[in-house]
Amino acid sequence: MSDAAPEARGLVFWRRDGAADRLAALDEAAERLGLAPGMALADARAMHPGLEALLHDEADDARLLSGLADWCDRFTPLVAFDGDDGLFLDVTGCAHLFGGEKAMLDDALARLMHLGFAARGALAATAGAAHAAARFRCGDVIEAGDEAALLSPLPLVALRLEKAVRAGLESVGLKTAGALIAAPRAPLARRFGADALIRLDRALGRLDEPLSPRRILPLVSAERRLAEPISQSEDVERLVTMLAKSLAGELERRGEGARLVELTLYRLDGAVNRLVVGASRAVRDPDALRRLFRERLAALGDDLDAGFGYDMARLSVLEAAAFDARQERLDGEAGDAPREALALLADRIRARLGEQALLAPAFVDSALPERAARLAPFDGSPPDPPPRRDDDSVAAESPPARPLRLFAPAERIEAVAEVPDGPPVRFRWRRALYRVARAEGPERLAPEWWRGDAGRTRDYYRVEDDSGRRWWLARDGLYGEAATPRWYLHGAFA
Amino acid sequence: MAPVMDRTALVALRRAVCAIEECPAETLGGVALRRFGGASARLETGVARFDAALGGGLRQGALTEIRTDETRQAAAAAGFALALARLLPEDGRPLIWIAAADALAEAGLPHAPGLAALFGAGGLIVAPARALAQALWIAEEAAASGAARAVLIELRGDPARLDLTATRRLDRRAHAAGRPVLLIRHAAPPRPTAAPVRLAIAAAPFAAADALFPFGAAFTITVEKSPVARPLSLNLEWNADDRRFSDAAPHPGAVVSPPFGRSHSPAASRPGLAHERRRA
Repeated sequence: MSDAAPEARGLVFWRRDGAADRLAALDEAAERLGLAPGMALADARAMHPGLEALLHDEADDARLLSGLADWCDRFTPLVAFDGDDGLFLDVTGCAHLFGGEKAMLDDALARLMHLGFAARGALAATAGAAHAAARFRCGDVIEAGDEAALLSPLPLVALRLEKAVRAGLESVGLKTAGALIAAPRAPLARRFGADALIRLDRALGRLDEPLSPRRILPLVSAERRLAEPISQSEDVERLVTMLAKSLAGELERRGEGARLVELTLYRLDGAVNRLVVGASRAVRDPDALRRLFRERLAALGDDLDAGFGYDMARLSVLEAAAFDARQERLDGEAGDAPREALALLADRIRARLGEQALLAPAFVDSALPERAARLAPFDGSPPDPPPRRDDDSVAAESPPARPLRLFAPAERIEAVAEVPDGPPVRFRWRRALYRVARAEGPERLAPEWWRGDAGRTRDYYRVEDDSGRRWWLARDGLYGEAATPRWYLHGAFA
Repeated sequence: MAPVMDRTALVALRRAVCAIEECPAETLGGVALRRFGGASARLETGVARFDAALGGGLRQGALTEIRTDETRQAAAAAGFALALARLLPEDGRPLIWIAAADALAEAGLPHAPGLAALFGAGGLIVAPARALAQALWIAEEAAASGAARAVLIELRGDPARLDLTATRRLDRRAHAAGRPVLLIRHAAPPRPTAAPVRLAIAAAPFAAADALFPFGAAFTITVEKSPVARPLSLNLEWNADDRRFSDAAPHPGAVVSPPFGRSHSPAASRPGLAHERRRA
């Protein structure tokens, strides 16, 4: 990557290791100067005063690797981390899309080189063998069954062993993987633990090795590579329609519709943008999906930085639900049409404005008004009517009058009452004075001690002021219970 | 020879065709369709003089503006809008209540139990919008989708963005869906909008002295703008049990006079208009 200019000063990264600052990573120029990781920073500086030294940041490294892993999603949906400097790509069933295994490997390495990475890669039938081959036989495709031949001449570093185990094995003279393969297993396991043998068996393909993918594997996905990169949101929408059409067939075969769909856009320079939309009813219709993504794109606006454009897109269904086909009625008045229209409307609003954009009342069996009904995010199903109380026939017949609008929190007022326990005769709310013409009450609500409430008893009065406006006033605390009961305006009646 | 089809059947057929073709009724038929079409169906309140002042009831597929002078009348305005929505046939569609965040903070949140007691237990969806543009976008989408029984938009003050264009867009969408869009404006001066009807609302005391909190509501309503341009101010009471409005004798204590001689009173109708001639 560098031009090997003779005057190159060398760049090193150092990290604090115990009491000393040691080199963690270096570039090619620094390597040519004879430096190596693990060297003390002071020594390196003494040898080469012109050295540029920066603090090593592991979090940045992890972020870069994770960005690279996102980029690798273009080859296969199953990408996993290999330590802190490698990535596993499970390309089972994907290689033919890139013209075979060797072509795929070359393509990946060439693309990485163009992005400016010095990458090594290899392809093998097991993760362990691939790990070893990538480090020692870059660019090779190892056929299944050749793992032993590959590993035998390699040092133990190739086997992903723990440092202590590796040092122990080397101290007894087992310096290559071949020596380890040939050694009797039982004494090895007894002395160095089963881990070394498990690693070896996995690399050789005798044991399966599960890879944990970074992302949820999609149920169904469709992707498209573009000869010419696109950056306009209209083009992205059109692409979504195309991809959704190819998804629709597969969803139909499964008898399902999508509930959560992710659009992954691969930018030319390696960045990856992901847009997720949810649907409250299972959808299959490409046009409906396009409309959901349109809102998502509109909400992002300028935040979606297309840069030089996207050269690949993938639409994946992350969650699906059974899709019940319906028969349209001949008169066009499908019985489910309003609910469907509502679900689509809600999905579009939420795709653009977020989950909190639509709220529906949620009811709790409680006497306290602020608890009995609150507004919770609307989930797409038709909103429930408030529950009827069946236990108390009198209460069911005439439910206590509740205001149309509730202030949250209740607003503090100054009120004057004729008698301490009576309704107020006038009160001041928001700097305006109200004279009470008529009053009804009190309705006494005790704090719900079984929920751990520490509040006081409230007396609610329904009052009408002299202009006919109706209010719901509350005195927080009885006389005697509280030193100075406070008055609140909690709601307004129509 | 084919039997002669009567006019009603023909209109009904055309409407069905329109529904299938998804085109506005006007594009297919003649004048008759405008009269019978869903978009121009009337919502009658049952109070004769109120309906007459609105030109035979409130048009269902239209934007209706409901204005209050002060934010503290918010409950009355919301109550009247809900009562109008309650007059619409129950069809399982919810009511979508879109409110600018400042309007909700100032006027209070909708309280579902109180709403259900007065205006029925139909579903309610509340959409608090952070900005006016957002509120208008949700309103337009909700009105166009036809998923709501009625769309309520609640705004405060006199925002410049709520101009003729914005209100006309809402009106057209209400017209296309044939469902009402009710625009509630708190503490708002009367301004030209595309809404064919503007009503000013204030709370009124109940006419019956003994009934303080029956299951109902009482309003003073002033018709400020309507297709027939007949100013009217009256007290209406909403009876939740019977689901109807009644004309209440104005309470002697509080009467709001119709806007007359004020700077923004409705213009006098031009001479030669139909209702003037009828009166002569």
